This record gives sequence, structure tokens and C-alpha cells, in this order.
Amino acid sequence: MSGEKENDGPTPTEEVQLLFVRHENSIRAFIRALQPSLSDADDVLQETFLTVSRKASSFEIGTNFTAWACGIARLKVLENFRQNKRANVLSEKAIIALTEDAPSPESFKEREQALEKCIAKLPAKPRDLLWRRYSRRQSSDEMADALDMTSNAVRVALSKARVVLRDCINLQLKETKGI
Amino acid sequence: MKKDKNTSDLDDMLNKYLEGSLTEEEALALSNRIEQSREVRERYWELASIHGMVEQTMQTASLQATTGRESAEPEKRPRISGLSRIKTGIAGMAIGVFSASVVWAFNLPQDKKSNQEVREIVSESFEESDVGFKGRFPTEAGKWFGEISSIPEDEIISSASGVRVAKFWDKSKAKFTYARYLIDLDEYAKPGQNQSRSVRVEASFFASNPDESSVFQIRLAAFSQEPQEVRPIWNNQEILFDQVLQHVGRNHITKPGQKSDWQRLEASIEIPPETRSLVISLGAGMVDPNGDQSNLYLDDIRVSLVDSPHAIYADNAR
Repeated sequence: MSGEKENDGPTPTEEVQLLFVRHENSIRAFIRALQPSLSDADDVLQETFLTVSRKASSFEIGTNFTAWACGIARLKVLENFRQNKRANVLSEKAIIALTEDAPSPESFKEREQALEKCIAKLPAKPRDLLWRRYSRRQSSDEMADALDMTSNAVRVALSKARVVLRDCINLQLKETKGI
Repeated sequence: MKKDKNTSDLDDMLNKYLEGSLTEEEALALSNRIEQSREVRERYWELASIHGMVEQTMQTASLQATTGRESAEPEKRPRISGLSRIKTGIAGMAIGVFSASVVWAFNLPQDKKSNQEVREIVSESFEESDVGFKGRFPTEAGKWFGEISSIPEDEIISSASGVRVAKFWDKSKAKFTYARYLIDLDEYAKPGQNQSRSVRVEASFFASNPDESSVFQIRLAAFSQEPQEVRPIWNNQEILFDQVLQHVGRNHITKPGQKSDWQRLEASIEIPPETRSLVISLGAGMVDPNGDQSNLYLDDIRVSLVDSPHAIYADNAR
């Protein structure tokens, strides 16, 4: 929602909402990295959008919006962890430590660009698995049914695909930086 | 060798965490390692960032090219006649003031749908050519306001309904443009004692330039004040978020390179019992302020009251 001045230019709320839409991919990626459950990550993204809207007037246009929004997202992730404590998730201390060492939004952007190239290099099967898991949000069991695999084999294959992508990204970045 | 084994074990644990399949003991062990070692934290981010980025990246990398499949897009709405309608899903974002409403926005319980009473209260396809939509925000209920003009369909744009469409005014590409409507809920009978009410809004959006990414937005906000009192609240950043009772929204971003077509978006809002006025705000804008211009259009808006047997989010509240 947006507040506005009558018949005038965009309000701070409108401006930050548009910035949010433009930088949503980076903010979403940051949240999902900390909050692996896709549905939890969606909730946190929504809460972040609302808080960003509420705090619009405190954002200085021209400064780093993604860093500002990710700062808010970080707090929302922690709130979410406290509200939905589960046995098999990381401790709050671990999450705090991770947020303190979070890569910069710029570094996320670099990795995202490298990821695109690395996905294109993947063989068809792991690429299909990633597509089912992330775009279609299929569970391991659903994927196993569809692909005639066991659920465990799906999880192992997905893990391998992520590790291959990580190594590929690291290599790409090293090459780009001439290391 | 030992280091490789440790690294591989760590990767396994991190992957299990990302898949949500860690045991309690493993979660504790991984937490300890993360708390104690910066190296482990770096390793976490390297792997977890892939989990975070891969969905969007796969979509932008063109799934059709990589897998031969279509991506998870909002369904395109075909040209239709009469009242036959196609319900579509949207890949957007739902925002709620209360977390319960967020859950509801995504997970409307299926078993309650059959008992819902649905009544369409607004149907707008901008068929009248001489209507002005002056003002950015409604000063009264029951009329469209905003930065739009009714135009006839032509070779560039075919209407989604009727023979005319609303065209959003050309503005700076750095801004959203809006069409807005206020509903006075006192004009409608209250829901029954054992019913809860929500309002569903559907609208079709169109961008003329398929090479540029556009953003379409539906925002709904409920207020206890009567319609004439909402505008000053909406205009006052200091009190807006204290006064709004409920707030829901959806954004949808088109992908460059896809064929231009109407995009059907839908959003619903739970109406708190004390609600008097509901703001419907439909926005459109360009994602890249430096990109080429695209004309943005709006058509076939439907607003319905949906009364359900009991509190929709009672089962979903967290």
C-alpha cells in the first residue's frame, strides 16, 4: 500500500515499494539463504516488504537500497526463527553469527551472475531436478515419483548439483578476478 | 585428506539443512560448528546462496531453453466472451499486516470454498469514453480515480473484456501509476453471525512492450473510517500504518522476451468486522527505469464479496 501527497510525485512509500520490486530477487535470495524453508522464506519476504513500506521515510534515496532492505530482512529472519522454533533448525546463536558474516548484496549479485552461467553448463538431469525443486517447488517424494527414483537418491542428486554449482561459481569468480 | 573428509561432511550437513532433513542432533552439531568457525560460516553462505538464488536464476536463464518446459508463469487469460471465466494462479507476492492473513492468502482452505457465498459487487471494463478519472485517490466511494484514460481497443491492444480498456498515463519510468477505487461496505448487507467476509479483486494488466519487464500490483487496504475520511489518512505517512486494519497486496513482474498478453492477477483480503471502507489500488510500472517505454493497460476488473461459514484464518493462524 502506498501513502501519497495529493496530486504530487511519489511518496517515500511508493518509491521504496518500487525499489523493493526492482531488487526483490537479491532480497529474496538473501532471505532464502538464511531461511531454507521456501514457505518460511516467503513469509519473511512479505514481512520485510511491509516493514520496508512502514519505514520508507527513513530510507535515504540514492543510498544502497538492497543493503538497507537486507538489514531489515535479517531482523525478520531472526524474528521468524524465534516464533517458529523447531527441533531440526539451527540455533539462534548460529543464525546471528551467520547474519553477521553475511556476504554483501554486491557479492550476491556477482554470484548470481556466475550462477546463471553455471546452470547452463549443468547436464540436463541435475538441471531438471533443480527446476523441479526450486521452480515447481516439488518435494523429494514428488520428484522421486515423477522420475522413478528414490527420495534419498533425489536428495543426494540435488546436493551434488548444489555442490557442483558452488564449485563452478567459485571458479568463475576466481577467473573473473584473475586469482 | 582429513580436511577433505571434514569439508565433505560439512557439505553433507549443510545440504541436509537446506533440504530440511537434519536430525535434532545434527542441527545442534551444525549450529556449534557455525558458531565457532568463520570458515564454516563462509562455506555455509557459498552453498546456501545457491539455494537462495537458483529459483530466480533458473527463470531468468530461460527454462524453455534449458529444459524445454514452460516456467511457472501466471496463466495467460485468453480472450473470452460472456461469463465463462478462467481462474488463474499468480506468481506474485502476498503481503498481510497480520501473519495469519499471509497464510490465508496462500492457503485458502479448499473444503470451505463450497460453502462460500460469492457476490460480485464491481465489474469494470472502462466502456464509457467520456468518464474522467481525475485525482490520484478517491474522494468518494463507488468511482474509479487515478492516472488512467478509457481508450478504444485498436491494433496494438485488444480488450480483455468489452471494446475499451483503461490506459495508464505515460509517466516517468521511475514511477508507478495507479487506478484506485473505494468501497463503502455499509452499502452491503453484513455477513451472517457465523460468517467471515473477505473481498476478492481480479484485474487484467497488459504491457505493450514485451522486451521490457513491467510490474503490476494489486493492493487492498481496510479502514474503519467512512470513505471521505480515508484520503487524508492515506496521504499521511505518520498515521497510515497505525490506522489501516488490514493490508494485502500482490506484485507480479513480467519477464522480458515473452509474448505480450493480458496478465490476470487476483488478490483477496480478510475484512475485519469493524471495517467500513476498502481501498482498491491497482498499480503498474516499469522495472527498469532506463529501459524502453511500454504502454500499460488495465481491464476487466471484478470485485466480489466472499462470505465464508466461519473465520477463514482460524485454522491457519500461527
